[in-house]
Amino acid sequence: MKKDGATTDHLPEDLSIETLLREKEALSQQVKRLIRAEGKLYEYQQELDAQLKEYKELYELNRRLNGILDIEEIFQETVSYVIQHLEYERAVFLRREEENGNYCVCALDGYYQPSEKNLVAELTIEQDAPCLSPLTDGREYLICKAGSEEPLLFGCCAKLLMTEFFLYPLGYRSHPHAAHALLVVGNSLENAGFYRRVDENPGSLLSMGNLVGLVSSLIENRIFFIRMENAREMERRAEAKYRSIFENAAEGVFQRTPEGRYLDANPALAQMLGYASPLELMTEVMDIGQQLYVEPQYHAELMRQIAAHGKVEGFEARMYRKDRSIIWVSLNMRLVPGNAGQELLYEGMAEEITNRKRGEEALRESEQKYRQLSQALEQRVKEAVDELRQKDRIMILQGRQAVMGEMISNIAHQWRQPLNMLALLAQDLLMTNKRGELGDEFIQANIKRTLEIIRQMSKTIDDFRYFYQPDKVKVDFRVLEPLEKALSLLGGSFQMHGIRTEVLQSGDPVVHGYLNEFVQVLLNILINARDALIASEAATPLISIKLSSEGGKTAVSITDNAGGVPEEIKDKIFEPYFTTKGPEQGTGIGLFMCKTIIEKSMGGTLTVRNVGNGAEFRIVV
Amino acid sequence: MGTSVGVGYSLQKNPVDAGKEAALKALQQGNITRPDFVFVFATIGYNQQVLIHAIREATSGAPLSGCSGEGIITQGMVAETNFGVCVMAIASDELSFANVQIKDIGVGVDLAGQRLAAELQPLLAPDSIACFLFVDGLVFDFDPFRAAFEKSLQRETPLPLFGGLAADNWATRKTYQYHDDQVISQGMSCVLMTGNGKVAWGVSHGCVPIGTKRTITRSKGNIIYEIDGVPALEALKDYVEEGSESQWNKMTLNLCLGFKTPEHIRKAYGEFFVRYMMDKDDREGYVTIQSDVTDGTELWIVRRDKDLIRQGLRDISRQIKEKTGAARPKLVMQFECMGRGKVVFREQEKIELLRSLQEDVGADLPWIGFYTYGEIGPISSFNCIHNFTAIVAAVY
Repeated sequence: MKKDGATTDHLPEDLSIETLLREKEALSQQVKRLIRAEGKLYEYQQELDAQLKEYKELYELNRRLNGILDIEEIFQETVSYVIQHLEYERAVFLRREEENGNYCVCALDGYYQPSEKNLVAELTIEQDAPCLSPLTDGREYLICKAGSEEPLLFGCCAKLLMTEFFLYPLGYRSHPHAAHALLVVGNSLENAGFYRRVDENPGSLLSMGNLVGLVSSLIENRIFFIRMENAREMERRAEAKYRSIFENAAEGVFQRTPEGRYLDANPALAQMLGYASPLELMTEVMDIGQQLYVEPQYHAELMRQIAAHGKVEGFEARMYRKDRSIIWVSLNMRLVPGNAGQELLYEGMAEEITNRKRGEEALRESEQKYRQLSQALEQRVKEAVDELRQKDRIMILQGRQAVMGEMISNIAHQWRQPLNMLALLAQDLLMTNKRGELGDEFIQANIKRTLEIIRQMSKTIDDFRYFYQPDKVKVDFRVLEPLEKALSLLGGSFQMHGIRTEVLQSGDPVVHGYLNEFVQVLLNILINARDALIASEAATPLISIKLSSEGGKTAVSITDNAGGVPEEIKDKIFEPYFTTKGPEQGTGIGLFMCKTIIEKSMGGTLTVRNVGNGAEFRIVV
Repeated sequence: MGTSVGVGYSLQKNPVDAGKEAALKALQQGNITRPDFVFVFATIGYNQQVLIHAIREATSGAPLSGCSGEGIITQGMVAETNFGVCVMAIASDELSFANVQIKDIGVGVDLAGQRLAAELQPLLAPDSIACFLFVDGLVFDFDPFRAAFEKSLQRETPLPLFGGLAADNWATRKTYQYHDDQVISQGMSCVLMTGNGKVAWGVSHGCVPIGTKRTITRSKGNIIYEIDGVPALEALKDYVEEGSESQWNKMTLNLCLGFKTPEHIRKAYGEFFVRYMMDKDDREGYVTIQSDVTDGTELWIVRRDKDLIRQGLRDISRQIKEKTGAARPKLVMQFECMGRGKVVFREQEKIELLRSLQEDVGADLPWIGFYTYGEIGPISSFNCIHNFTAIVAAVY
């Protein structure tokens, strides 16, 4: 204790109180730090637990999905996982349709009213929907947060019935330009508070990223697997198909080495070459060129052609069968190159053509015989045609002679009166002289009359000669000219029977042909018309001739009013030797001859029809 | 017949499917065709009405009581998720359960106590065993309620109250109470158990104070206005990370308030009881707890000690076994504070703790519970509310 006592005693106590207060304050601060630290620790602990739980569940999901081959089942497991473990309210998987590229719902899970679920199940997102464009631009995902007014995503919200969502594309590798599937997870407005919120915090993105990565990889693997399976199946089918074709082909199919050994052969080839099996063929034949080819040089040529062109088609050669019998074979072969241009093998097909070869030989012989026969036949036909032509000429000649006879008869008839007139004129001279009345004037009148008659008689000869000049060449002639001549020749006969004729002409038609033959035709038809009129005793017999040009051709129609051709004979009147007259009146070759002349010599037509109360013969040349 | 009890649970998201699954599992486990009573605890992600309807349908319309929680607990399973439901189905000819409900307790909890007493009075019998209480934790003040309730019932010894304060997921600020077909909020659902049976229970919190004593310098009822002369929020802000004020409900799970246990229950309970700050007012700076305090009340910041919690659960099973002896409990209810769930324990730790407790009390017993905003259970013969506490009640 100091001299002043009390002051010295207070100092240590104050000091200790102050120290205690400081220590208390320090302790208090430590407590606060401890509480804060503990709070943070528990927070991190929760986060860690949540992550561990998630990873564990993801691991379990991975194990489950690895055992699943069906993609639809993978989708369903994934959406269930999202709902059960990632704690989002709704999850939807949309799968890309191969036909149109649009995305359609293939799996969904979560809490929906039944009507909502049906609505979402029918959802389709077009592949070129604007809301997906950021994905094609390379974005990893789309996010729509509650309250977002992003126009592109707003429509999606309504369709998906989610106020907030993540949208992830999956399976890009299987489709370079569009994802194979879309995964949408999110929440509706009214329930969002009870679920994991859609937020771009690291935890949420990590969760979704892990899931999407896992499922995307699985999808791609499954797609690859399915494609592999499909490819294998197609390969198997192709192999089976090929094998079936190979084994069952009717043609021989083979693969061989350039050196001449068979690598593969089908039963048809073995059988063709007389071996019991393809194996026996491949085993016994070591040098195709020497062992099988009858002429080895053919094999050499075959090899040369393949080397030059890479393939050969229809190469024919003779080959030995096992029993040394010979067959003909047609080969199609091609070169199958190996790696780096090295020849690997030849493959091809062989068809036995022995029968065909025999058939060809037989055909050649048959053809030769046929050719000879054909030539002989041609000759005979030519001879027959010549004969027929000769007969035609004879018939035409006969016809002409018949007409000539008719003409001569007409001429004789026409000359009778003029000759009588000449006789009368001569007698008249004598008697007038006897009476002493013969004078110059009388003599001149008599001579004039006589000369006129002689002139007319001479004209008849001229007309006759006009018609019967031989035809040597075809000429162009006016139809009217021979017609007038014919009518002139027959005028007397027509007059005698009271037959009137009329000629109606349109233009001045010309015909190219044999004049005299045409005249023969006209005369024949006119004479037939005269005879028909006489036979029918027509009251006012008339023959009407019309000349006209029709379509560049000349038409001559000769019509009578003799009652027409009876129907029962109309088809026969142009047949040779057919006649309705007695044998003394006609030979029946007239109309046949006319038809032959008009149709064969002049390339025209001669037809008959009944018109009015008569027949019309129509010539068109 | 005795008593048949079955428990089922479901974590499905669809309320119809979840309710049906949990109920059918319970019936199947208990081998019950038509239950006499059903307890239901569920988390709040479900459409509660649809959920309860599905359970009622599956349980043939048996009387039903329960509430929402932050998580659910059954035999070997604990789930703190927005979608979880557990159902206990009971068929018994030795125990009877009568349920009542009280709505709108927010208008006056003491009045609620009177109303509940009035409802229960006609149902009380000499062999009434206990009352299970499920109350909206967001609007409840236990002390005035208890006082009014016990006063109105006028029993020689208080009717033991077990139960929990209905919870949500810290975010929605709405809890639910179930009574038959009805789902209400700001109410309470109560079940009176009568018959040939007893309840053995244990209570433990596992919290330990740290730091120095603080003093409530201004308060009213269950509202603390000032601590050490400073607005309560101001006084407490140093204990929380900046920026975490927006998650008050969750943040305050790490900021427990410890008070000296009243003398009459200190021996049975321990030196401190713990309180959770349910609510706050940023403008006036006060905080709300679930029981009344007075000016001058000393408080400590307490922290949950995992070792103490483990020890506490062992104490619980010991307490129960001391009472049950060789008798096998017919059913067990667990009311666990949400502050003892995933916010403090790793998932595996939590499950191991639960399994350990359940094995201690009795393997394969029908076990149901939920994570609460507060726990109700007697200490000795005194009905108390607890926070950061586990209460396990075994009916035997």
